[in-house]
Amino acid sequence: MSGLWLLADSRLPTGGHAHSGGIEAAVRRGLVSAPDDVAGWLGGRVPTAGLVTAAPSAAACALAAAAPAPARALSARGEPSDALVDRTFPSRTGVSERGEESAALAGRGFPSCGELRSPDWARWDAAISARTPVAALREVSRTQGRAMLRTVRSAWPDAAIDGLGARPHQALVLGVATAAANGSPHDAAALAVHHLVGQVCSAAVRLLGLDPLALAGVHARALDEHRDVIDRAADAGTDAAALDDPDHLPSATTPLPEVLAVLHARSEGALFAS
Amino acid sequence: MTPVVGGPAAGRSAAESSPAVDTTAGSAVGGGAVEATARLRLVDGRLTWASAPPIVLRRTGHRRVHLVAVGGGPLGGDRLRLEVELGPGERLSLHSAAATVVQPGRDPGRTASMAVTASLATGSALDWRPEPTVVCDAAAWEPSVRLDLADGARARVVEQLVLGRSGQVGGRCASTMRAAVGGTPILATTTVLDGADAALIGLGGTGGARSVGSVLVVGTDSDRCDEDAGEDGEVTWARSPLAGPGALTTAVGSTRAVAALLAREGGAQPPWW
Amino acid sequence: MGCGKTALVAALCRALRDELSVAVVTNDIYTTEDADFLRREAVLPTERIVAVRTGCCPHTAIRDDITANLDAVEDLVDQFDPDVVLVESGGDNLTATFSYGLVDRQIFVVDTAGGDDVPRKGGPGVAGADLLVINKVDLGPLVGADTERMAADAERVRDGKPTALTSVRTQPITEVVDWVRAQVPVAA
Repeated sequence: MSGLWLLADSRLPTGGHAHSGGIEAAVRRGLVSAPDDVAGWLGGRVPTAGLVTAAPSAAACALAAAAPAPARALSARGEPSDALVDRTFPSRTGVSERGEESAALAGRGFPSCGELRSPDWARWDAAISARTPVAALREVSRTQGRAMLRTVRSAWPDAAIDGLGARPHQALVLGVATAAANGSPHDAAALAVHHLVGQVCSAAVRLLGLDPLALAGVHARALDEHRDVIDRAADAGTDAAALDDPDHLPSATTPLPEVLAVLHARSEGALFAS
Repeated sequence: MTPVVGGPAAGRSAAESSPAVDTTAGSAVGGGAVEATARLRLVDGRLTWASAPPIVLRRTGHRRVHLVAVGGGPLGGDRLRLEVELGPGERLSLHSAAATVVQPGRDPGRTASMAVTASLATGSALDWRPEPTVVCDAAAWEPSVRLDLADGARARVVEQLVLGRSGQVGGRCASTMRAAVGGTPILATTTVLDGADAALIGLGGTGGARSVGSVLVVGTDSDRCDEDAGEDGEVTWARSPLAGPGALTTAVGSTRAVAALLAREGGAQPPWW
Repeated sequence: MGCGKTALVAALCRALRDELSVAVVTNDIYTTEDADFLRREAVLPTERIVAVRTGCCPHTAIRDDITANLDAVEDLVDQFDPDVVLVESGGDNLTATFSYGLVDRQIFVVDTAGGDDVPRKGGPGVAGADLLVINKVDLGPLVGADTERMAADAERVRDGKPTALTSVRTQPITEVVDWVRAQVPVAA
């Protein structure tokens, strides 16, 4: 259980600090100036983008809890600092490298491990891609998934990461990590929403110099007000996992943040990666 | 123009001319709401259809069909369907005759839906460009488009939603687009709008804009499928490649500016037509 | 800011590129300006220079959460298998240091014009870096900085680790180049 505190910590080294949950693009257009505006942004995003990432997190947690542990624990980054050669790069030891969209589709049917079978992650990965129509946001999700995979290998060597590939969507890795930390699908959904809210609030503080105490309030209220989103995501993800059918994952989006995400990716001088 | 082989003459109903296709007339589903499934089939050069009021189909040209809504609505509780099937190599251009105005109906809160499903065989092409849909105050509207493409098929869907008539804030809308190519899903997205919801009309939703448009291209990535985006005071838009062959363009802004953007991005016949 | 990090990286690239396979990661909190500068100067082929966005957290990105930089370094290693990757930090104050999870050696650059008491104050950067570079010593007389005292102060806090005095813009940086070369097994 205690591992969950680590997964919830914004200091978990998975690169989250470089992402603004999309709000930088809104800030740069003068659309955000006060904590209430941040709450408004979250009010549109949590029930849509939040639901869409929380549900597969919950599903992945449920799937991973029933999956075999990996055959081998990969070495984590802990070499002495004078190891100049033969450095191990954990993220390069994954299954596939680039072209994930096609690789994910082509790579169906992973080897079984005795009675237990690894989940067919490629189908779940593809379902998340389908629910993320903006290519820039798929890339952001994969970048963060790759980073979290690196953290998971180090912190939870027994996590059921076999078959996830080198750059899976972040939601899947979060779910697998939650399972490794003995968390529930509901925990995974809550963590997904918590991190979305946290990225947005933290970025608003850094970009606008807003009062971090006020934003802590926005963060707490968002988690409270959107409990139903977490519940729905947990239920939908658990059901989809039980049916072994990613087609049951929910889809929802709002138009302006999606469009801004593309404009952000194409802009010069952005401070956040997304 | 290539002569049409078989197929009924324009303007005649399916029941008269196309006994091969069964007709599902509109039937009441309680509270005055209607459940209706219309069908449209173009196989071996033969166009057949079955209207189902309030959805009436009219052939308006070579490989072109218009939807004509009769009886007003849709109203809350209505469940409308249109099923399209194209055989190998067929091309069909599908339009609607007028804007769709979604009203709340007698029972406030009941959702009206319109599901368009299209099954497209190898080498076929569908261009679906309905007139804009206006979602009136207190109405709830759930349109969906589901495209199942065989390898080598292509489709384009150009749609515009408007929140409210003039003077209204607009109702609720959840518009779903799903597309699969060769059985593999590449798009499953639902755009959520609500003119009366502060969050969804705010910057995390439409940013105060009353209209949202989209151009979906599936089955090809040669036709304007690269990433692009732009903004002026009236419309903010972006085109992004899908996780498979195709792209989705989304525009949000004033009704007029979105319409202009859609005319530019999805107006002319695509090169593969 | 402005102590000469980017100029030092550019000079190192020019000095080493013919004998070693070199790649660069820049961390810039405002724009991809540093990467653009390096590309404009054509010190390396464009594809060997990667810019990382740090979300206004340049120190976090090189120490507490090295994710984005690790991604960039790993991608460069995959693509070019370089002998050395230079990672330029986006921010600098006396406490900004690299994690040894990201780098094998770190160079800390201080600016003569920033005050000659900086080495005496010490701090993790000045005291702990594998190489301390005191840059712009040619400006010493102009800004009233005693560069000899700076070097002596540095020696006191650095526990035997080397210090180099440079004027990157106007003088060759032989000492720094030799030090870097000595750290790279294939070059040594």
